[in-house]
Parts: sequence; structure tokens; C-alpha cells
Amino acid sequence: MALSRRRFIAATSALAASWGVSLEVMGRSLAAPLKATDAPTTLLQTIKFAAQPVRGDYRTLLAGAGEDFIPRYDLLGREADAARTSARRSLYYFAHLSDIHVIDAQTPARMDAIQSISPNLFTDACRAQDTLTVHVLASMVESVAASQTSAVTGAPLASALSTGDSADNLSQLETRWYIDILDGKEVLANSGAAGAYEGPQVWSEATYAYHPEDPAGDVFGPLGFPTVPGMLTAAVSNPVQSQGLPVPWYAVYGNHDATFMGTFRPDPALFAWAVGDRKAATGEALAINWLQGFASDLSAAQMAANAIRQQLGLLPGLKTVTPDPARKLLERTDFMQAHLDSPAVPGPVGHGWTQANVDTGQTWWSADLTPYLRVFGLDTCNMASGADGAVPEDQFTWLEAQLAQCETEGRLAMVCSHHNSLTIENDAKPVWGGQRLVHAEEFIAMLQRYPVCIAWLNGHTHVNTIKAHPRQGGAGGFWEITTASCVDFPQQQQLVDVVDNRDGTMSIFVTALDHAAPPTWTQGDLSQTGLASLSRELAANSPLSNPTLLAGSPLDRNVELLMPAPFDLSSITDAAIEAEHMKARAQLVAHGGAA
Amino acid sequence: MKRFAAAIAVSTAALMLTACSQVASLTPVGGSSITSVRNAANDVLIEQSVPILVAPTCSAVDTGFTCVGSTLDGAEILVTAAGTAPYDMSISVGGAVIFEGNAQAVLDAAVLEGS
Repeated sequence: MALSRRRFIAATSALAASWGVSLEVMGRSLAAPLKATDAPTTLLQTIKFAAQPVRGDYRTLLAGAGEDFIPRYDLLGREADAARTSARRSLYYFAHLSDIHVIDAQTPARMDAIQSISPNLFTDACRAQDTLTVHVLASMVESVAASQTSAVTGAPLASALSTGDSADNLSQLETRWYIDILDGKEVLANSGAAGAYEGPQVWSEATYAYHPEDPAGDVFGPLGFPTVPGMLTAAVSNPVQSQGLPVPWYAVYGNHDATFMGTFRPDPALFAWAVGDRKAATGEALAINWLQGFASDLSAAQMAANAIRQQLGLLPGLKTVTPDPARKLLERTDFMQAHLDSPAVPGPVGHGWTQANVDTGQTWWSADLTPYLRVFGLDTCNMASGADGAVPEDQFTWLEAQLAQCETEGRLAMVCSHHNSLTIENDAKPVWGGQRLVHAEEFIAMLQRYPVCIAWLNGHTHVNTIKAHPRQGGAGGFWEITTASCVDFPQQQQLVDVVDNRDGTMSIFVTALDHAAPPTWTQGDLSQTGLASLSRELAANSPLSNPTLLAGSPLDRNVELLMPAPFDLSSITDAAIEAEHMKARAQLVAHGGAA
Repeated sequence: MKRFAAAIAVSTAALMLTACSQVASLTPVGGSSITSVRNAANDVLIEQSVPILVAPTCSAVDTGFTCVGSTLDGAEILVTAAGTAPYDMSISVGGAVIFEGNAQAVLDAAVLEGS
């Protein structure tokens, strides 16, 4: 049953008043029929490597042909009925963000120099594009905003779900920058000295880092990385503008939001180091002075002694930088509080977390995206040690009870976590206490017991990956949807349209989304967009991250994921769906869109 | 006294086990090897227009990795691969070998212009 004319007018009036938009504008927008659009996604254009390197192994990027949807039948067990394309209706269309990794590249707390000790253990300690992450995020926000209607069904974008590693190193500044870019505020991606970059990318002894002014003496030069005069100054001097997400967005903890370098439990010495004026330029300085006591010697006498030693050249490789109190590291609940210190629009305030989460320390949440779709945001980070994660037993028990309730209520469910099925295996425990940690096999088996659980969204590995988790002994199960990151190539995120095919099946359409900056960087372009484009190119040539793996296969990018409907979806009326679409369109209209 | 010593011993053992679990967790993010094989196999199957019903699911075995899936007409998709880069692999569909080569080369080719 569709929405009646009377209810449509009443709803339009209410939405116009609620969003402060004229009734005429709101009415005209909401009355237009949903229509599939040519949103600027990888359906229309992909980004490819040039066939020939320009210098050494270094390749530029260029535009390639778009990729059509590939249907995946893993959970259906048969081909789908072709008639579904004319009958389907969108239940919910949203963006999936993950591994944004906004980086304050100059913080003393960043252990860049570990790259020279063990390049393979921390491949992310000092990337060539580390100073450009805010620019990339703003470009991704632009791309999401441009995809405000589904290319499949024309449904309006309703929300964005971010599955962790939003900041990179437990930093207050990084967390603030990422929230502000998603909320549409201006960000100056700098800390310490005004208008100047201080860090390994200008220190000659830091040969493990890319020096854009002259890479000849570092490890990137022989690989053909370009000379880009002014890149670092432009990155830290010019404010980054963001139009902001046009929809409410939700977030969960990633290991980089919860632990130091995404791996270690922070201690007081690290907190002091982050806001201090010393930064290690070499691996030796890191090992001798940083890891062996300098950071933890907090007495005034010892600090003075260390300052004298440094002046006498007895602490080689340790640099003096401009201290900045804004670089402080976050305590466990500070990350949630930062999300509560975010405006009501695009909202929601807290972005999944509430004041109760901060008060109790409970780091997971649930939210009703619509009356018929509930999402659960887990915290799978291991606070003892390690980058990979697990599901603590209290969350496991809570989630199972919640899914059982969804089953009873006839409500679809999606689960969000940072870690994925390959990386929910960390068994590190705190020294005392600690609860049982549930690993992937048990977690997947639990989700499979509840057919209403249609999808598990996550990130962590920076690889576009989509896996079916079929139930034993019959059709059905759920889809695990892992997106790439904003920091490593391909710097892609996802658009997701959950669709009822009205034939007893449903489809989840996933579309890989490039950020809006041009595929090919123009030499000398240091504009905001140009820096985002350059970041992608530098990431594509990373000698450490295996960029060609991260793109995923065609079965992990633009796909239609079919599955049996977990219950009779006709119980979700057309009127209910239309009402939700109207709310979503009203959000977009209020943001300046024309949905 | 014996009870005290036993308590110390148990506590020490617990601490050592905890420390071991924490040190053991200090490894790079997991999964890149098996994902390389999986992705490259998918690249080949799509490139060769194999009609996939169930995409290959990969697992670690003594010799490296094995991935198993099926086609729409019920034929088995079987991938066997070495466990170390560049992951030499073989892909067969219904018993017929359709690819032999290394996974990294497939991944690298899949992102080049014209691919």
C-alpha cells in the first residue's frame, strides 16, 4: 500500500518545517519519482595504472572504463529471476566508509622512524602521502555527496556508516579533523609551527621518508617518485574546505582510534611525548632515546639533562619541533565524547554513541536506521596489544540477544565492526582479568543463526573484499562487505543499496566509489583537489602496501549480492518505505541537494 | 609458605602467558597472503568468463592455499597455490586447467590501463 495523497501532503509540510525549507521547494523535490541516476561512481569510470612507468617503477594513473554490476549467487544457490529488475524496490541506500586514517603527520607521537628498523612490521608508519589525508577525505565527502541517489533504484542516500580507523594514532587533533570534515567544516591540516612542516619528510637523515622537495637521497627517489616543490607547505598552509556529508553518519572504533599506532596500549610516557618538543628522525634515535626511557623520564632534572645532552650532540637523530598541546592523545572514552561534541546536522549527535556510552564506558551501540532496519556498531579492538581484533564475550552475548529480538520483530539487521573475518583472531589478554575473546569462526556461526542479519560491514585490511557466509544445510546466510581505505590505494569507499526484489529474494548492490579528485595528477597542481589526486598517485606507487592487491577483484567491487529474503518482505509496506525515502530526500534537500 | 610459593608460581605463569599472548599479537595485519590468491583467482575467473555460482573460498593447507567454488552448471572450481609470494597457482574448472601462473602477476596486470 502506497502513501495516500493526504499523508504525503502532511508529511511534506512537516518535513519542510522541520528542515527550514520552503514548502514549495520541498514539495517539488519529494513529488518527483525515484529514478536511477548516473552518479559519478566506478560504474561509469575506473582508475587504472598507466601501462608504462614514467620513471623507475613509478606509474601515473588515468581513467579507465566503468565496471558493471556482477551478480553473485553464492547465498541463493541458483541464478536469479531476470524479472526482478522491473519489480525491485530500495529498502535502504547508504555509504560505507572505513579506514579514513586522518593523520597528523608531524606529531612527535608518530613513530615514523620505525620504518627504518622494520619496514614490514609497520608498513603504515611513514607513507609518502601522510600529509594529504584531510584533502583526500574532503574529496571523498564530495564524491559521497554527489552520489545522493542510487544508480540502481534512484533511492535517496540516507546515511553513512564508518567502520573505524577514522583517526590514525589516537590523536585528539586527528579525531577532530575527521569529524569536522564529515560535518562540513574547514580544517587546517597542520600542527606545531604555523605554515611550516616539521618532520621526517624534510629531515635529510630520515632516508626512509619521501622528500617531495628532493627525493634523490631517500628510498623513494630510486623508485621514480616525483619531485614536488611546495607540496608540504601547501598541505599544511591552506585550509581544506569540505561540503560535509549530506546525511547522518555513524562510526565505530577501529584499532587506530583505540590504541597507540593501532597496536599498543598507551601509557603516560606516550601522552607526554605527544605534546612535547622532541621527535625521533632516525631509527637509532627512536630505539635509544625514545623507547629506552627518554619518554618515560618525566622528572625535571632528567628532562634538563636530556636537553643538555641533545645540545651537546649526544642525542643524535632526536629533533626539536614546535610543541602543540592540541596533539594530545585520547583516553579511552574521549573518542566517543568527541563524537558527542559534533553538531546536530548532519548528526546524529554522538554518531551512534550516546552520553550513556561515555558515562559507562560501553563502546558499542545500536541504532534504528528505519523502523525495519537496525544496525549494530561493535568495538572489536584489542586493548591489550596487537592490530587485529576479536569480539569480547559481553558484546557477543549482547549482539546475539539483539539479533534474536530482530528475528522476533521481523526487522532486518546489519552489523558494523572494524575488524573482518580474517582478522578477528587476536587473543592478547590484559595482565589481570579480561573476558573471553570470541574469534571469527564462532562469531560467523552466531550471525548465521539469525537470517535477519543480512550483512556484516567492516574494514581494517584496506582491501575491497566481499565474502558470502552461507548457512549450513540450505540457502541463505549473510554477506560480509569489507571496504578499502582512504589512505592506501585505491582510496575507495562503497555505496550500498539494500533492495527487495519482490520475488522472495533480496539484493545488496555494492558500488566502489573513488574520491572526486581527477585520476591523473597534473604536475604542479597543489590545489586542494590536486593534492588529493597526488595522494592517490603516491599511494598507487607505494613500495610497502601492495597496491594492486588492495583494489580487490571484480567480485569485490561492483556487485549485486543476492540472497533469500529472511522473511516475507511484503510486511514492509510501500507506504512505510516511501515515508522513509521522503525523510531521506528532505535531508538532502535541506543540505542543498535536489533529491 | 608452600601455598605462598605456589601462588607466586601461578601468578608468574599467568603473567608469562599474558605476555606471550600480547607479544604474539604484535604481527602485521593478517590475511594478505590468502587474499592475494583469492583475488587473483577471481580475476582469472572473471577474465575468462567462467559462470560462477559460488566464488572460490580459500583456506590454508600444508602446501599453501586451496580454494574451492562451483560454476552455474555444477562444475568444481579448484585453485591450488603456493604459500609464499608470488604465489604460483593453478586454476581448474571441472577438472580442466584454465590457468597456471603466479597470483601477483595477475593482480598487477588487473589494474593496468586496458585491463
